[in-house]
Amino acid sequence: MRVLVVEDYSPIRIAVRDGLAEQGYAVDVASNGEDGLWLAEQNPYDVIVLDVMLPKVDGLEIVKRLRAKGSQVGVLMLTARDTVADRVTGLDQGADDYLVKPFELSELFARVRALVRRGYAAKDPVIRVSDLVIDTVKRTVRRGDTPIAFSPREYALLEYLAIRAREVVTRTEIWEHVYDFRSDAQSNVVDVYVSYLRKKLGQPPLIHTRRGYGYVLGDDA
Amino acid sequence: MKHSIRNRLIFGTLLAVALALVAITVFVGALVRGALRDQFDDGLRAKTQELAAQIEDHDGELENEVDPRTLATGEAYELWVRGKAVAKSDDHLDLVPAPAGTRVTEVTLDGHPARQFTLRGEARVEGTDPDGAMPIVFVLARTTADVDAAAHRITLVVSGVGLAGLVLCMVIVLLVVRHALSPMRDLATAIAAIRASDLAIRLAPQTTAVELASVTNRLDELLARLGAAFARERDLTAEVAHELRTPLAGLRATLELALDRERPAERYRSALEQSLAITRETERLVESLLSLARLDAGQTGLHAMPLDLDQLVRDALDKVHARVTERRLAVITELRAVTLTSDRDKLRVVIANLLDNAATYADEGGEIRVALTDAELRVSNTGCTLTPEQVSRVFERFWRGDASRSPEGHTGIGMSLTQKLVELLGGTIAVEVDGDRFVATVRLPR
Repeated sequence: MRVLVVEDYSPIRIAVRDGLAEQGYAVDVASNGEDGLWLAEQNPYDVIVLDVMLPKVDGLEIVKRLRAKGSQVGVLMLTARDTVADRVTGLDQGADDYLVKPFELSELFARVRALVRRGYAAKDPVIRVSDLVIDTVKRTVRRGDTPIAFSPREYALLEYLAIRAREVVTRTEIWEHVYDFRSDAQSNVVDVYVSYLRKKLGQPPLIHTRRGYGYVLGDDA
Repeated sequence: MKHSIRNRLIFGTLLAVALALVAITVFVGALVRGALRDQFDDGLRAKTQELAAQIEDHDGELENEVDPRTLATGEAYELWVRGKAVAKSDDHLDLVPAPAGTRVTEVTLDGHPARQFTLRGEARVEGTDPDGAMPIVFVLARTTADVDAAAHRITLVVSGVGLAGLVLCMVIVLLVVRHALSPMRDLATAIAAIRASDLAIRLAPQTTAVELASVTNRLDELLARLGAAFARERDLTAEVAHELRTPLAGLRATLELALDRERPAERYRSALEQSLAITRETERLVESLLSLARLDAGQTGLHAMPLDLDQLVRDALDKVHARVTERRLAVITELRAVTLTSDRDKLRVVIANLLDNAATYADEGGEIRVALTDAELRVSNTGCTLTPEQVSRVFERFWRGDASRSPEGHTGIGMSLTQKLVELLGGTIAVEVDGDRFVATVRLPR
């Protein structure tokens, strides 16, 4: 899942970026509203963590403009203002959720996960595809009764395929949702990782190739 | 000493009414008594003339035909002919004629107040009298007991009516005054109902009394000022909370992330360094806020001493040297030797803030110019994108050109603190934009 963090105060920006990255997210950051808006318009983020008070273009304006252009991205607002009026304004402007500073990182992670699920119309944090069970909170994977360990990048790819199970997922979509700007840009990296996943998931095969389109996890009916 | 408007109104009104009633009573009493006396006198005169007509000069012989039985009780008469008393109604009663020219006089009759009519004339001549008509003096006296009693009764009735009127008046005045003063009570109730959280309320529309309009208008102005002050205070508190929460959030996120899992020692070190930097920044913010609060409260004293202003500027320049180098800024100084008497610590803060601002807001690779002539310090930097309208707001607390914490570590209270300090030192500070230059000019008294 790919997240954009727009926050001008560097200690928060860095901690949230590193924390989310450790949680397996592909994370891009922006330190002002202008850059944030540009990134948000260019990339299909799953969630944007957005500070309200930003230089150049403020957070409320960013949400308004994104929504005006039909963006469905999940938006979690961060603010130091906690009056009801402030929260109402943020939500009415099109934000999905709200977190008041100072916040606990684990709560921010939970809210980001919830927004990701909402983006894919999933309520259950546990994804089941045939005998594959993915716990998106603990970030653990089982096939049948056998736990399988994945690297963070492998897990991220598997989670993305699983949340869109039984759909054809293109390489571009994988690239856009699993990799951030800091990732190595090798054209076959997706195929390489898919082969890693296939190897670890074992038999019978769960990931199918749709030649010319992309991949499907589970059976596309 | 406090007095009661209500009591003043009541007593004043009642006093006026009472005086009026007393005057009316006295006047009516006098009028009635006068009328009664006139009536009495008319009756007395008529009877005197009637009785006197019965005295005849019969061919030189006096013929007194006054029948004592025609006298009513409390009446007495006496007759003089040629100055000699010749007849009287009661031997025990001596009447005295009034001096010539007077007709009605007040006398005492047998110890009772009475009035008498003195008729001077001639007896009616029957036949002939060679000596001419006999000159007679006829006096009729009558006690005024009846008429006095009547007058007394009337006075009593009039006084009673007046007293009753006074009581009625008192009741009416009490009610009227109470009703008239009710807007004051309503106003007091309305004022008592005002809470600090609801200063938007206005009193003028709530009162109908014209006399209270001046009071309610002033009160409303006061409320408006109070409301504005409270709103400023609330905004300020919210801003302070925001300013403190942001570094706290950074501190918390940094520490939580570091503690989230086992990490290499250098990760902990960098997290601790980061945290320390945030703590220092927060400390500076709190210090500035406290200085500002003390300045606002007028609790800041001045310790003036002779000092070299140019040396202070040079010291301050040394402190921003690191940032100047890092941001590749060119610093052009033009410092004259200036000695003046002022507060060293406060001047140091002022100069540091101005240089800090310039070094922070100048464009990367830009230029800072510091000029000191006499008691005028001018600090300018390139890379200013503020409009003149925005520049006029730089002294507002927590105001930033782009409504955010940018650049980092700048809280938006430095300029208001600087302004306050300069004013405390008896100087002035002005800011302007000159092309892409932000120029701050401080003038200090010598």
